Amino acid sequence: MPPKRLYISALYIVEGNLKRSPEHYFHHLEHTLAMIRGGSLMFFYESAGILSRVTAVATKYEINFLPQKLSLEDHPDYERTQILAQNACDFRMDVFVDAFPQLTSNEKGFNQYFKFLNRGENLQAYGKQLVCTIGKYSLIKKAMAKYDFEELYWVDVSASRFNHERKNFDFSKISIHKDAIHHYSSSQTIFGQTQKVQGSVLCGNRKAWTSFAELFDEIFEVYVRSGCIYPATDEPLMTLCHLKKPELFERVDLERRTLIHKAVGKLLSPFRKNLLIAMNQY
Amino acid sequence: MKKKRLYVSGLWIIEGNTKRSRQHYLDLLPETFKILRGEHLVFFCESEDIKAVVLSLAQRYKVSLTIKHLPIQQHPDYALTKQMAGNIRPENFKIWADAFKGSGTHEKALNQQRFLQNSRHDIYSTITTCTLGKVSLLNEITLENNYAEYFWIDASASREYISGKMDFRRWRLKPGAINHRVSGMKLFGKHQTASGMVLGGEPQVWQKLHGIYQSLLKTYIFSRCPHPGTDEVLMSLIAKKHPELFHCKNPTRTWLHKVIGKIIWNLRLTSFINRALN
Repeated sequence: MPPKRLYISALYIVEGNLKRSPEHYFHHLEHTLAMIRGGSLMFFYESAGILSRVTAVATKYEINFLPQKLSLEDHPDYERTQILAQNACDFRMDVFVDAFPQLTSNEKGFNQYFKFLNRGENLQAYGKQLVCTIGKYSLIKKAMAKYDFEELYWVDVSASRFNHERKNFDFSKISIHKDAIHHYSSSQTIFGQTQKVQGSVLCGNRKAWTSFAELFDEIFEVYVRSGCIYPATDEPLMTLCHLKKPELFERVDLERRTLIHKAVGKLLSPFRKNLLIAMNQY
Repeated sequence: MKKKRLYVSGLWIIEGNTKRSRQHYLDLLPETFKILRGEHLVFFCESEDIKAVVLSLAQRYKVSLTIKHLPIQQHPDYALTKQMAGNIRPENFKIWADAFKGSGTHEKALNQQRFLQNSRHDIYSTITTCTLGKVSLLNEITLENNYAEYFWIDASASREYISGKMDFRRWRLKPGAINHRVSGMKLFGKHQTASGMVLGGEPQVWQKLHGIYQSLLKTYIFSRCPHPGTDEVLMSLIAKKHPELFHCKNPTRTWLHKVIGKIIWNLRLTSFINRALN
């Protein structure tokens, strides 16, 4: 019986990437590929240098390596993403970041605008990086068109950076149990509300990916046309998808709310506000 | 000898204001005047019918009233707020306001979106003049009068419950600070520092706040900040750099909260309690 699971990943080294150095990706690549030892991996790349480095690691871990050359400019989401990056340049929240510097870590838009877009000064590199993060759903579509694997796992090359930091961190052990995109949770916020989805690992069967890709594409188009200036990556767009169709998502690192939690919650409910104030969360 | 306290308020009925109707204010004004029974009040307004209403209410509730005629276009902050509103376009965050609608968010930028979308843009900026401009009016009044304390009070302040610690008439002001209530609205998930409905302070505090406030307002405009700016937003930004300038009369975090918070943290119960509280 042919293997049913395909891992998909990509690596584009963008000059001027203020988010991560090339070494960051190569360091985590090794551990990420180690986790998919013996599996099948479709890998999108642009430069021969990247291909040779990744091929060497894939060989080491006996991976059925399926490289696919695709230049960023030929990426199907390239043009729309550049509009998104350009719109984000208007997110001029300098007075807020002076008062609340922590927002550059917690809040997605601030994080993107101040750290990576560099207040609009790093537009060219930022626009390319954004293709890499936003465009993963299109790469999955390409994978589904080319191969007939039943389960498709998107994995960032640096996904192993979360090892031991989140529940069920070993994505190779995640089994798909419903027609939904299985994902980890995010700690970043959008207007103070927690993002619904973290984009480093996303898995689902063909049916889930087909529904998701259609929804994501629609939300992406609406976002671009709306002229919204809040800097968005795949995660805010997936949050919008989640708000629209929550049944299409399945969180894999959920800390279950047990009977004890519910009972304690009932007892504490009269003190809810004061407890949140005490924990500095009100 | 200085007289004790002067209240300052104002009301401009802006045609096309989708946030509040004219009737909303007319319904709440009598109760606000009742609250101010026997007090001294300066009231800014433009239209003759509002003047007539407040005069009659002042007589009924024995409020010592001075009416200040101020067409909204002559408000000291009118031109600045017009400029500021130019950067605040309805499409900036509409998609997020729609997405989070009904999820219980009290986020300022998303909340303001309702008024931005439903009003003509010039109407939105004029409404902003009314809310944002109170500090300038207070500053002006402190320079013209000789009271020990000055209070801003919204014409519609009676919409909120007034008793106990919330009864500003019985507030003993903390010197050197603007005394205020907590705000229910949030900026990127954190509560704004102060509600702009009732604000009290000594004249020198108002004058100091006015200087910082005007400087920040100009920076806000110059940097073309796209976030809707109101008095509460500016005060929250100022409070981060000048916390000594603000004193909350209904402190949300007492020493008891801090002790309990420390215990929860040390026992590593934060995650458990969060889940319990859902």
